[in-house]
Amino acid sequence: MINQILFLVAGALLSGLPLAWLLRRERARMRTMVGQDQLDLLQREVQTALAQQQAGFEAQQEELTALRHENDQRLAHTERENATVLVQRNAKNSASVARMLENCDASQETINNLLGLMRTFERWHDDMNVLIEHNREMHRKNDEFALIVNQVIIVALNASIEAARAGAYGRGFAVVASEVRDLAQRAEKLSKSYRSNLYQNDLITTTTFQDLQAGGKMIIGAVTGLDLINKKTLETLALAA
Amino acid sequence: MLTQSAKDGFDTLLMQSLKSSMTPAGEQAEVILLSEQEHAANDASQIVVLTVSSYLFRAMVLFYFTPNADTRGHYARLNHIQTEDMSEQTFMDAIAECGNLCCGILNRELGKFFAHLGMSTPNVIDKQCAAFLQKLNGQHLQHFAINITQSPRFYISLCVSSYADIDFEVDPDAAGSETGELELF
Repeated sequence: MINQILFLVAGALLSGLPLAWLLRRERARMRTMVGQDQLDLLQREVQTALAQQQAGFEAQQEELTALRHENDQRLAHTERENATVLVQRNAKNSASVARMLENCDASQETINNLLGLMRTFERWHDDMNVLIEHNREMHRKNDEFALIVNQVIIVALNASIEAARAGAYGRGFAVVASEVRDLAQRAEKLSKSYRSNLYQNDLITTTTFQDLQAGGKMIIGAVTGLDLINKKTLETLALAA
Repeated sequence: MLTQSAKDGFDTLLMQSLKSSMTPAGEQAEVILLSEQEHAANDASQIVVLTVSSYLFRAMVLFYFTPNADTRGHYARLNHIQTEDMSEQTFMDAIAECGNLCCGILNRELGKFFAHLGMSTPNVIDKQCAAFLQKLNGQHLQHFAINITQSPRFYISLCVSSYADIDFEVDPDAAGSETGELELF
């Protein structure tokens, strides 16, 4: 009897356990499943969200269109402003070019006047030739003076000899002859010194004049360079005007 | 005011210019530097003087000569004419023109180092004027001689006065290697 009861209990336990497990699993599955109400609720929520997004999108598109329109207007405005500035600048540039052309013309006039300096250098050249000729004349006169002095020395020497011959009567004359000879020797020394100064004068005058002449050509060369630059600038400005 | 390099540069350029301008065609020439003592042997009677100037310096070149048969022969050969065809005026013009040509080359070569230069026309002065070269306040005085195979020795002096610090360097191998048209006055 007991055995029967035990078998019954054991049998009940053995068959009940799988059933309980199946029941539990079914309950767990049921918990994970969404109900119809919830599903409807979710659908409504999704539709609402979609509608909101659509509305947002449309608003943004409108905003974008407005923005684009505004930008177009701004662009047109900027283009108009730029065109005005360009016209103003062109006018200013034209005025500047006109002023620069005027300045270049004024420079050209000054350059042309400076190039006229050549006439001054030619005048210096003529003056220098006069000066050199004058120095030559002084050389000639000094050489003649030296010849006269030499002649006086010889005459004074002859006079001394004649005075010696005259003896006591010639003493006074000997003194005069000696004085004349001394004077002639001093004159000879002076003539040599004068000749030396004339040569020195020739060198200094010639080299100084040559420096002036070469300096003049240097200036003319520089002004000619300036003339070329100015003419090129004038050409460039004429093309730009 | 003048550095040693600048002094050497002036000397080198003048030596090259002398060789180019004073040597008759087909003849050999040698330009040498002379000391004051060696230059004392110079017994020429006249000088052709020329000046090359800038606002920084002036260089005076003196070409000594004696108007005799040997000198006439040299300048006749240099100008490809017969000595007997050379009048006194042609002879003096040939000497002045030779100096002009030499200083023209010097002027052109110096133009590579100095922006603005000018050159004088030649003048003839007496040799005794050379005794007063020191009076020109030059910072560089150098004497030269050019020995040409069939000609007498010619003496040349260079006197440079500077008015600023001047320094430039001339490559002796490169100087004078170029030939070309010169601006003659």
